[in-house]
Amino acid sequence: MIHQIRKGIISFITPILYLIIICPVSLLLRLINKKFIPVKFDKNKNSYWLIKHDKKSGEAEDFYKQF
Amino acid sequence: MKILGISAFYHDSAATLLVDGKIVASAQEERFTRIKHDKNYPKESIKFCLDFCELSIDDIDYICFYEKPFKKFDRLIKTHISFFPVGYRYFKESMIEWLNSKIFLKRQLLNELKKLSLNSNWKEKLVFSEHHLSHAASAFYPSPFENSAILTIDGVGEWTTTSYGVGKGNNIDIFKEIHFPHSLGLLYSAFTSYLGFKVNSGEYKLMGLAAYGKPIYADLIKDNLVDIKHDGSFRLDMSYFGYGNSFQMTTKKFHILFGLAPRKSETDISQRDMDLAASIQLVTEQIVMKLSQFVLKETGQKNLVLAGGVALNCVSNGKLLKEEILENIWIQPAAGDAGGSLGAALATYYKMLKSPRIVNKDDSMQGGYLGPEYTQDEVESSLNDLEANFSVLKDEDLLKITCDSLIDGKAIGWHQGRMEFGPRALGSRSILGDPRSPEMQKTLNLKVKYRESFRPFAPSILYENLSEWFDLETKSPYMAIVSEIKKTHRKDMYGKEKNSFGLDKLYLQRSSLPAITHVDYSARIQTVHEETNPKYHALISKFYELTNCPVLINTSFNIRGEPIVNSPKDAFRCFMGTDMDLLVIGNCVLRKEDQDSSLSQDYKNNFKLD
Repeated sequence: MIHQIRKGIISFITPILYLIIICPVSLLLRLINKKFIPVKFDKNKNSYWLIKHDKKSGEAEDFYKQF
Repeated sequence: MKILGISAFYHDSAATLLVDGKIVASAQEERFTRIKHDKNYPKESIKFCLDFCELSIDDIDYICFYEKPFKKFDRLIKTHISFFPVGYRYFKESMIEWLNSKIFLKRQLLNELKKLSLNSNWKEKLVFSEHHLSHAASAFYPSPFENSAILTIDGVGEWTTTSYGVGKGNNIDIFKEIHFPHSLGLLYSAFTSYLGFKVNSGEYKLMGLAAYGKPIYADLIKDNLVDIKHDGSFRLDMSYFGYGNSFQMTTKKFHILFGLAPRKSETDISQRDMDLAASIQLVTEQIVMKLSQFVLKETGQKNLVLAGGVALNCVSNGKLLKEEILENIWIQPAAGDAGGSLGAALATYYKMLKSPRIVNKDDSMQGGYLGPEYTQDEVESSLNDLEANFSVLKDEDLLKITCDSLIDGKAIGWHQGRMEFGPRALGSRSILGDPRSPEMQKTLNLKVKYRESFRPFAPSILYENLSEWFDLETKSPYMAIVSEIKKTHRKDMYGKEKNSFGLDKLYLQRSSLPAITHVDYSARIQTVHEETNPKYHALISKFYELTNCPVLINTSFNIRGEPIVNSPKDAFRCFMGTDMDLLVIGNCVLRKEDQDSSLSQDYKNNFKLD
């Protein structure tokens, strides 16, 4: 029952989230010509490898984080 | 120090228990629940791990989940932002799933742990590894190497799809990554889906099918779908792929490129399908080769360890070995997400707690036999409950009767010792046959396994005899490497036979072991070692003594769509529901003709086709 109610609420708020987060952020990023995810080849690049920037990743305190 | 590793909530949930760095128990949830690729919280697997070691949950010092859920959520949101305005339906469905449960994953895990005990401070004990760190740990720490380069390649973890680094002693450093949506695993899965097979289970079929085709589309793939740099790094053109913003793996543009709509599941397989399979297989091999060369050069290492779903591509692994770009390779047998539970536990022990590591010169996986086992009393009791008719034999008689039946062309269910961890059956939960029989592949595929006729079978060979039969010199105890049968055992093809193509190749006798020789003379080899599986080794030795052939067909003990059997009860049901002739569980032997036929059931329809 709780599961069903929660599902109903989520179904209700999902379009709102889409309208107030996904749409404006996406449009804003396009305006400033920034992309979270590259979706095309980049022939000018020599490599697609990304340096693992999160230096603390794998350290003891990092194991307690969910992000 | 006791650490429990958990992987769950995507596919192939599993649990692993580590005691003072030793892997003592590992199992996949699907084996207990009988739901293929079960993704639910691995309640039964955890119970097995604890029971096996006679521990209570309060004895556990740390519980490590194999990935970081918030990082994954971050990827999901940014993906939707990037693909806006396309993909609202996909956004809605994924939000329902995430906001309903996945985002509260920590709470969900804590609740499950509290159900087991209220005496522990679970918040202090619950930790999270990264998805690819878990893969890297599962590849490096159990390997026989003090130092090694590490390469992990899969569909996707949080953001990462490919990563490399170095393992030294008890430490792992990851240097570089490739991020979603650019994924070799998902590229392969896209073709799996396009060719009418199920994603996350049909990839093996695609690999088997590839041998029937010619890679005539490889250049088309490289020109349009994937840009590969000199260092093996790659990027996909996402206008061909739908998985970022829809429930489809491929887009219309992809279908136009290859000239046809996706193949419908269970329809006839055309030469074009086989050529496409061969093409994506070749491209995958080329990328893995380039990646490996680069990683070895960059890290200055001579050893390489692999994990992640793509490391289950044993054809590609075999090519790596053949090219002699490295000195040693070790592949985690549970390279997929189930192995994430093992990696998470190992990463906690070595990387987080900095515990000293002792390298085992063979490896630390104990042959992969890490699952449940049943005593002779338990087996007999189960069989009696099932009203099965069986005889109990001494080892020597048991081996003789089994070998005689194999020689008579019978298909045999073989259920012994501890169940394997990982997708391969390695002689504990296996169906066995005589590889010399020209009919055996067809019989096993169609009457026992109920699966597609083109799928090849793997050989188990005594390690001592490996070099006499195959072009392979290294151990392959986990069936992770494909190699070719030696020329001396091949049969020459002439005229019509030589010019046959497609599935016509299937029933041609290519060697003195036709049932395990694939159409390109390759075989996915399992070397059998007395130290890790003495009973299976003794069986093949007896077969060798009687036939001069040290090889058996070894296929997993299940039918299509079913998880590999776990208990004697599962084994008996599968035996009765198929055309298997003999079942050997522990020291019990069951003949089909001795069983009450009313105990058999419509087994085939109990499982969804995969």
